[in-house]
Amino acid sequence: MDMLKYSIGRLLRSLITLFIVLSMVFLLMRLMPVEGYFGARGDNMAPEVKEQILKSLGLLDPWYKQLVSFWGRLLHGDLGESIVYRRGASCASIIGPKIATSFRFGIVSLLIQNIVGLPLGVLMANKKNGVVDKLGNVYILIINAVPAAVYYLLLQLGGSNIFGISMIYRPGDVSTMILPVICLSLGGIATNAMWMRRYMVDQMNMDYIRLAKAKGLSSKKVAFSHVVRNAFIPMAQSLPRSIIFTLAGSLYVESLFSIPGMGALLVTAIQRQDNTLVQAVVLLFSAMSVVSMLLGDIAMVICDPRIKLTSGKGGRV
Amino acid sequence: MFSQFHLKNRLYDKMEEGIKEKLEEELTDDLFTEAPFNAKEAETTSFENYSYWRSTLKVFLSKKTTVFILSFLLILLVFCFVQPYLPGQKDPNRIFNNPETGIQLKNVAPCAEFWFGTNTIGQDLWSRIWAGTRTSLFIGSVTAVVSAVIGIAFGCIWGYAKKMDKVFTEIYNVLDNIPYTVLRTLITYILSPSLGTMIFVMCLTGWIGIARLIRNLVLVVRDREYNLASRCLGTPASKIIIRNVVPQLVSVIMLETALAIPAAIGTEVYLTYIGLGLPVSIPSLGNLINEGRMVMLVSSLRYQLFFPVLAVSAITISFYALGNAFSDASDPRNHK
Amino acid sequence: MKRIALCVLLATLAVVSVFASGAAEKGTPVAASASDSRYAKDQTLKMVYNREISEWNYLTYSAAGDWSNYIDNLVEYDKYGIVRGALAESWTVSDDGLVYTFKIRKGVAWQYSDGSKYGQDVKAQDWVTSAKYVLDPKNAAGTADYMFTIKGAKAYYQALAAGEQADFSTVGVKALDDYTLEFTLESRTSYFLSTLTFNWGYPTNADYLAAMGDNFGLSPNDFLYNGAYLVEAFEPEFYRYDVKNPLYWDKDNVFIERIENTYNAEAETLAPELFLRGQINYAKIPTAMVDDWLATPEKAQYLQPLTAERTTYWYAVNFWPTYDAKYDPENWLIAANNLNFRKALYYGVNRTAICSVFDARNPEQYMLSTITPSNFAAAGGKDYTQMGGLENYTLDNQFNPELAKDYMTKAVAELKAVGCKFPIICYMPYRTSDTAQTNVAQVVEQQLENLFGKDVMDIVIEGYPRTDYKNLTGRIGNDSFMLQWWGPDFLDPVTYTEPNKLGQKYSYIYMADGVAEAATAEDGKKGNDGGYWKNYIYDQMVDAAKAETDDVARFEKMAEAEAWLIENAYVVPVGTLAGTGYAASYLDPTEHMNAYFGACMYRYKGQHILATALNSQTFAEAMAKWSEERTEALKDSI
Repeated sequence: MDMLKYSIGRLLRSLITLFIVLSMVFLLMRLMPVEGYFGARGDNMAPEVKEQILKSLGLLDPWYKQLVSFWGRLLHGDLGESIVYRRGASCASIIGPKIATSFRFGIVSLLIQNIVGLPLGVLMANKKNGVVDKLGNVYILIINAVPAAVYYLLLQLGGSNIFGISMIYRPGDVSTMILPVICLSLGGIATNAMWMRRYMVDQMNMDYIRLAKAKGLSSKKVAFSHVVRNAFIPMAQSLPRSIIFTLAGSLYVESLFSIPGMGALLVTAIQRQDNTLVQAVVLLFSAMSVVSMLLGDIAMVICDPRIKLTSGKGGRV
Repeated sequence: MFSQFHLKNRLYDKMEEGIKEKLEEELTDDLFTEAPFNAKEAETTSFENYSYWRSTLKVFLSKKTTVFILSFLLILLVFCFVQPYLPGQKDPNRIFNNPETGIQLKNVAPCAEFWFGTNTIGQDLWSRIWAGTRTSLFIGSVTAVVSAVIGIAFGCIWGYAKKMDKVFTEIYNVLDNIPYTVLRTLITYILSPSLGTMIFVMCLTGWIGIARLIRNLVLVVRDREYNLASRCLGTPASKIIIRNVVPQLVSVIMLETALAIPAAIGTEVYLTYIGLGLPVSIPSLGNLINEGRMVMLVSSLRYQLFFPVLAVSAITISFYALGNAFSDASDPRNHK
Repeated sequence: MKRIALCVLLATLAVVSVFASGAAEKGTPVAASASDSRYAKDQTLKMVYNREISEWNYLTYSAAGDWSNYIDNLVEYDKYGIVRGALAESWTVSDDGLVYTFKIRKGVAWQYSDGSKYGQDVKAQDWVTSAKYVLDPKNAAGTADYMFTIKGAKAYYQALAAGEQADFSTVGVKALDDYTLEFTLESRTSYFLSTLTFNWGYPTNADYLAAMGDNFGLSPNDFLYNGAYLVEAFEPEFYRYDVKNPLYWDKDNVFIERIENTYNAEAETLAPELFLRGQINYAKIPTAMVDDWLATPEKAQYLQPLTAERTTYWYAVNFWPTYDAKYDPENWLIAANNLNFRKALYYGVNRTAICSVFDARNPEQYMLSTITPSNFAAAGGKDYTQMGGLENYTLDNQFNPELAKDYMTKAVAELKAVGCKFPIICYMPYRTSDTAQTNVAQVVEQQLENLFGKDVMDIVIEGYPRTDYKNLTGRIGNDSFMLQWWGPDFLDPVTYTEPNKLGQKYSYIYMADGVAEAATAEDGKKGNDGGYWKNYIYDQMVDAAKAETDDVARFEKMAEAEAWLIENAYVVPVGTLAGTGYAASYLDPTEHMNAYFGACMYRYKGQHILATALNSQTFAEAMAKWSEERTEALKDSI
């Protein structure tokens, strides 16, 4: 019962947040140069024609009127039509397949990040300052110190050369998916390993672990039965966000490997001045953020019995 | 970026625990012996020979690697600003021409004249890298300081004013829910790229995380007994914040500031990559890396990428390592 | 568990370290098998691109290109540059040169993108449909200007633009019957046929256009085909696959069976490597890489020099500076109106330095001292650039630092007398998305500042990243002195007079002192600055030239107009800087349709995929053979 009440309350707050976020973003978009509404033909348009277009898009109305009609359209699921990127196509039809592509790559890489990263962290923590720990730290350091834009390119060139596979992605050819997935995973493996290691090291000094050790449990058993299990509680909160944000794709990886995902869409739409598409993408990202936070909180409440199911204290921060 | 969140959490968790533990350790029964009243001694205040800051600094400097990195960074910083005034240094924007043919000295491999070689239009890479490091460190530090100031101010008010907490929290939720990369890209585009724009967009999002962190810390510190007492005695809130609360936060702020610099370089590389970077007349590490990437396929020109990446990596690693060492040192349990 | 993780870690580290040591060079390109045929067995052209087509409505878009393989024009250029009939089987020209009558090829079907027939054939009426659409201002077609050589077209367009009624029957485009099309021209236009290869010269089926309405040309599935290729599959920013059209009227001359274009945002960086690995068979080699390729024999064998396009680049002095007051546009205007100052700039710009940004090995081959490139047009056995006084400027590259300094010394004395402030700030925008132009801006800035001294001239360069670069800079007067460029639209020097005319968005020379007079809406012409002007010397010279019916006299007078621009140093010609450099390619450029403009530049008809890539030597041989054949072909065609 408490659970339900909490969820409903949290949902309502999220909806309010979403409403404010989207409205703000919408108004921010009004600052974009109007050239983005005329497309390739803008050069040859008479001023009257341009005004006609702006008028038909409702852009000459006062901002509050625009906001109302924007929400009206959005509630009907209408994100508008692209102007330059793919003239006349609905933004939803452009975004849909791209999201699916990014998700396919992202979810595989997310799995790898966890399957490789977390055990690596455990291993590193188990023998602090041992060989694995040192190598792992070097790896983490390299990944964080070298700009991704650089090591992705190196991986692409070197990897395709060594394994004799295509440098660019071809749909249907699984071998062309290997390198992008590796690229996507490297950073996450480092983050996961680092987080896990730190968590383990910190927890080892906790009283309950000391008690367990005092009881005579081997440190390996302690590590697995207590620490690792507890580590999943904070993960529960971040997991929904990780999953949802695989939809956003990766700008660098997708650009390098010719993957038609979401990663570059925002940047391309901005560069090519397709205002409605920019707006649709920004709205989507904001919505994803709000929803993932909501799901994260709910997951956290389900997993962690210590959290009280009241939302009185100012909410989650 | 990747580890800031965890570092921060760990830091303030530990501060909290450390203080508790310390109190428990120190408040043993044998401390409570009966003391005869002494009028003179009643006027003096007791003072234990422990200074949190001194100990932190001591632990911080006790590690050789830390001292090494710190001195490396200091030397780097000093050299960065001294470099243009050293003899024989070249203007980072000057294009060098072959005096006979008048054609640019393009892609000259590192040699005695051009220590790091020249780039694709014949500018000296050595001086460009130093100039770029200056620019990027400048962006990073301004961003870090501005974000810290706004974040602290906002965070203190947010944490201290109980009534406002709900309102501020909602504002935070709204701001935090516009993905930062989206916001940065969009604002840079709307304002058109320049040094000012770049610093502005980074500050725009940089303070939000700090504010949250400060607010949580303030919540913890605010209701400590001595602050309660202070409040009972009628001390104004502003004085309590400045005297009692802010000093507790300094280590967090220092760490945050240190991490903001590599983060800013990362953002700059990203913005340059998508074509919203600084103009070519301002060398920056982002510009240099992007130029280097374009010629990376040619092995003989790879030095044009290697040197800027080296600079970025050295700075990033140094700041992260210092951040780590500092967070360890600020943990009272590690104080001897 | 432990072991696996360790292995993973070590493997990753090993891989990273291997990459760092530069494994990327040892790509082995897939060499074609030792067949004795000159052509590859697999006639599939594979390429990567990084600029997506955003507009599929060929009638409205002003740039030729993308769809030229999907629809044919009335005429086309063969590989020797001779006009041949395409959708027109034959044509006749009236004696006064004003009426062109085309016999349309029978039995050419309109097809959907999947190749199935629409049910109607291409007919004469289809060009009337296109003309009507392009000349309707509400369609905002960028190609309308190109139609104004046709009788009544301009008047019709302007009437509609003014909101008045207009009768299309006054326009000189008529379908006499289903297979006879007649164009009537405003005046004798010897280059008329070449204008037909521009976008307005495509036919459009009226029924289909009406049925599609606003949806016409939204995607490759939203227009009808009759060209050599069909779009098989298209995903924006992913790929575009073209296949040979099995029903194409001239399918025996189409050899490449398939064209696979894959989008890659990093195409410029990756293409050379992809080529070496045999994943694509055409790649442009960036300037920075050329030295390395030439030095490595296995790479050098693929390199072939590109023939520069005929897009001409020049620095234009701006007489309508509208930029920020902090750069003192007023002061610039004073300086710009001083002839000695302009001459100093003219002789001071080092063309070699600029061109060597594009190709350090042979900068001379791109250099120009005229706006119209040499070998573009000739009359009476003389190249255009040797007529009307232009010959005085083509002797050398016109860079003369001593002379430039002399002029500047004179200019400084004169300018000080009229209250010009020093240093003169010169605001020079550049396009950041273009590495070469970015570099040129820096080269010119330093070169001029060093030459004249920073106390005399201070050049401020500012990057504009956006796609509508020209609209943000030169077209709104937001510059002092900037690089302009213009590509030919048809085969006549008239095309190069367009940018500097009154009312064009490229130049404000008419606002210079003593060049034109201010006028009113009644007696003047509207300039791009919004004001009205009349008696613009350059326009008068060009109009006088156009009135000549004899090509020699016409060219002579037109060249005089161009010489006037150069003599007064309103422009500083630099070179043909587009399409420069080298490519690695399995295509034979001598098989390509030989045209500098319009649709034919982009067509693959007639080309093969070679079994082995052309290298510099075989390329030279092919060119020599081609030149010979061309001489023969030209003889035959006359």
